[in-house]
Amino acid sequence: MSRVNPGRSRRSYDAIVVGSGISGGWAAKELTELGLQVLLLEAGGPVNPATDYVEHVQPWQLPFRGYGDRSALERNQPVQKDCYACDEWSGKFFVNDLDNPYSTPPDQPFSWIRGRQVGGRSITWGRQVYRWSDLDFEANSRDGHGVDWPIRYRDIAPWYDHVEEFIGVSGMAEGLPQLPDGRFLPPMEFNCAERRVRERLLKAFGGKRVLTVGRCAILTRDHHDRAACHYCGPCERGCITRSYFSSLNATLPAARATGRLELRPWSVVESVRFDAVRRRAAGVRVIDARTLGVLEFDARLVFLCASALESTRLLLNSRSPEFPAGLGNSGGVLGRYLMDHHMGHGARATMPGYEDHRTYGHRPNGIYLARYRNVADAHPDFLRGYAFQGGAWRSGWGRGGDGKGLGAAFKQSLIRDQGPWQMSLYGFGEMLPSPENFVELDPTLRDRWGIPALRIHCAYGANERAQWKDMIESAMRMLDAAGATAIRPTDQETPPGLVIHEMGTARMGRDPSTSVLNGWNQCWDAPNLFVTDGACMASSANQNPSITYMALTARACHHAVDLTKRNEL
Amino acid sequence: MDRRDLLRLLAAASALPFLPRPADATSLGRLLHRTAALLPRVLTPDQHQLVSALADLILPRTDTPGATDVGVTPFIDGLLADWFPEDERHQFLAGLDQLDRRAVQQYRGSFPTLDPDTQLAFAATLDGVEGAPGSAEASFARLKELTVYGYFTSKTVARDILQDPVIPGRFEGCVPWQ
Ligand SMILES: Cc1cc2nc3c(=O)[nH]c(=O)nc-3n(C[C@H](O)[C@H](O)[C@H](O)COP(=O)(O)OP(=O)(O)OC[C@H]3O[C@@H](n4cnc5c(N)ncnc54)[C@H](O)[C@@H]3O)c2cc1C
Ligand code: SF4
Repeated sequence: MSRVNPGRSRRSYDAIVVGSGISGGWAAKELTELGLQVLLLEAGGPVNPATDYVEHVQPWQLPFRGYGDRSALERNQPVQKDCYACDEWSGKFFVNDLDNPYSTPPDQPFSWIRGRQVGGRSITWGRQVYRWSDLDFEANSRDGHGVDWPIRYRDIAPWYDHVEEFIGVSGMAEGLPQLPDGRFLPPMEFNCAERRVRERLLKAFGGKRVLTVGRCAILTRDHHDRAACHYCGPCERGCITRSYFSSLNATLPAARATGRLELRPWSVVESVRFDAVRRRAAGVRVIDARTLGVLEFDARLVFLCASALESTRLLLNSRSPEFPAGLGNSGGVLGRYLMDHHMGHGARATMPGYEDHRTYGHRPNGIYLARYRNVADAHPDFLRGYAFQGGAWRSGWGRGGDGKGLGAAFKQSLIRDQGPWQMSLYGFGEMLPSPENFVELDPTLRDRWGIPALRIHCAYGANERAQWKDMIESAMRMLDAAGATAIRPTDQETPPGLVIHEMGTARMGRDPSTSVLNGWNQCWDAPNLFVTDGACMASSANQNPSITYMALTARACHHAVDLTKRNEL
Repeated sequence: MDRRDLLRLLAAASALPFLPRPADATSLGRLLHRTAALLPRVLTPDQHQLVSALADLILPRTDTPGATDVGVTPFIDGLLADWFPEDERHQFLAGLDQLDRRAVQQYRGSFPTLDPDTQLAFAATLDGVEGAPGSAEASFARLKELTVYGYFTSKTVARDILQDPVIPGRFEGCVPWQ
């Protein structure tokens, strides 16, 4: 390796945060607001909202009208292109797969969808936010899969409040114990068909199947210094009015406003350095993404927020005489218990009625049908549960592309009529933690910066498959009960990873021999090292996870500062 | 945020010219613009005529523009040049040729030369009929899909005819439609 910091003295900070995505943005905000000098290291380059956001660019302004540059995608982003949001507008917010390789066993495909830039995947995320409940935090101890979470809902609830107050979450309170309500901004409206489905399901299932409007991190009214949404629709392309939550739109400006943030883009953290005398993380080693020069930075606190698998890769690569298998791995579980959710199973149908009604504006949000399996009773075929997302829409002119029709009347009907209402329900299911799903360093493969790449072993198991079956049957039955016609099953197995809720591999726990982090996201091997992104998760629940990463991050930051103040670090 | 600031921001954002980045800007972006009014890149003159005739049959000019009025043919030609994988391009063109041969066999004239009623009657025998790749039916279906897409994503149709606002300002879930 080349020389370290040639001709430059080593800089030291109160805290280093690795990664500027959803988790790292929160760490930077909380730590700077608590008075710390923070160095935020981000592997990717800067994003300039004024020129890089493209949410108002229309198809006719693009070379391929939104079809995407197929050959470039196949060449440079063969994995990323499978993500719905990696299109002709937003493809630039996804990694180049050639620069960022990983391997899998041939029979275990895994889609690792990543964004490497300031803001990480917070730019392109789907903004759906759902609290976990004790049904989730107690799940491992109840059925014995995975280790018991060291926290319960009461530990995290105030931090959900704290996060929601800042990011702004629109939604409807429903009073469901399995899906706790938050501090909501006004909900977005249902459309005609969704309202009907909600009402009919409530009636048909005795109030046990609750279809609510999506809870999303989008402002339905002005909130702090950010403006209400103007319903242009495609948030994954950016938002010049900062109406949805992202690091770029919210946490990074807040951190910058303290005057205590130093953001360093193009800084690929290669490893965490360990001080064997103090038995603490000393700082990090960084490769400059553009010059490939090596730099070192020191800090009293180190927060890893590089995203679940990147933080774990970093730890596995932080090998020292004390920790030859990677820092955090003294229990031998680092890299193990990888989870994602599973999706692609449910149903679609036509909803008769309201043909003379339509929507106005583009709602960047759908519906959510809260978990109902294994809540009050036990399902005979599987553990844990799933929820549905989806929504109703009118097919619009797109329906003209298939089916019959030609000529003037056909054209006129595509211009004038919007086609029948369609309704879809897509299951998002919980994946059990299993030691067979794990990541390790690939013995030979390296990324563009010379850092060992991951080898990912992950496959869905029997419990997940049993859920798929029930998802399809239940979705069809519910659409039927709601009065739908032309009900079709959705049965699309997608590789793990593609739900983009990958988590686990440096789990929290109560025991250093079976976990990597304690109940405060503190690494058992180095108490001033915190991992607060999805790596810390001990189970996956079925809710979209990012708000939980945010809440855990904020909680860990406050704890770290408390410990520092008490001189316990 | 102040309402005026917001409007200024929005105006700035929607007025942004599309700036191709290196990753997006392949030859198509540049070439499409340069050659749209000039020579087709993949379609032969005969194929060009055929595609135009079919596209205008699917979406003819009425009190609103027809398919070729909004440039559907150069759009399809551009996709054929830079988006279609080679095998799909060959199949698509083979199916078009087959379609025209069938017109010659059945009606003694190349499709573009037939009178409108005959064209419509012939196209109706292909519309909505499934066919193997490379067949007249499959290429007609693909052409129709591209024609509809190219038509409704053109500036004239999307902006001026559908009048779908880029910045609606609000969302209403269930409003009557006159
Ligand atoms: C299309 C899409 C839709 C999604 N929808 C939802 C949703 O609706 N709800 C939900 O909860 N979640 C959703 N997700 C998932 C969500 O985006 C992630 O859970 C979330 O971004 C994770 O936050 P993070 O900070 O851990 O990682 P990221 O946001 O990925 O940020 C990690 C950052 O770390 C940087 N980094 C990585 N390695 C290094 C290194 N070695 N050195 C320095 N920096 C590094 C990266 O460049 C990146 O900027 C979605 C994701 C996508 C892509
Ligand atoms: S839909 Fe709303 S939140 Fe999304 S980009 Fe448009 S204004 Fe922003």
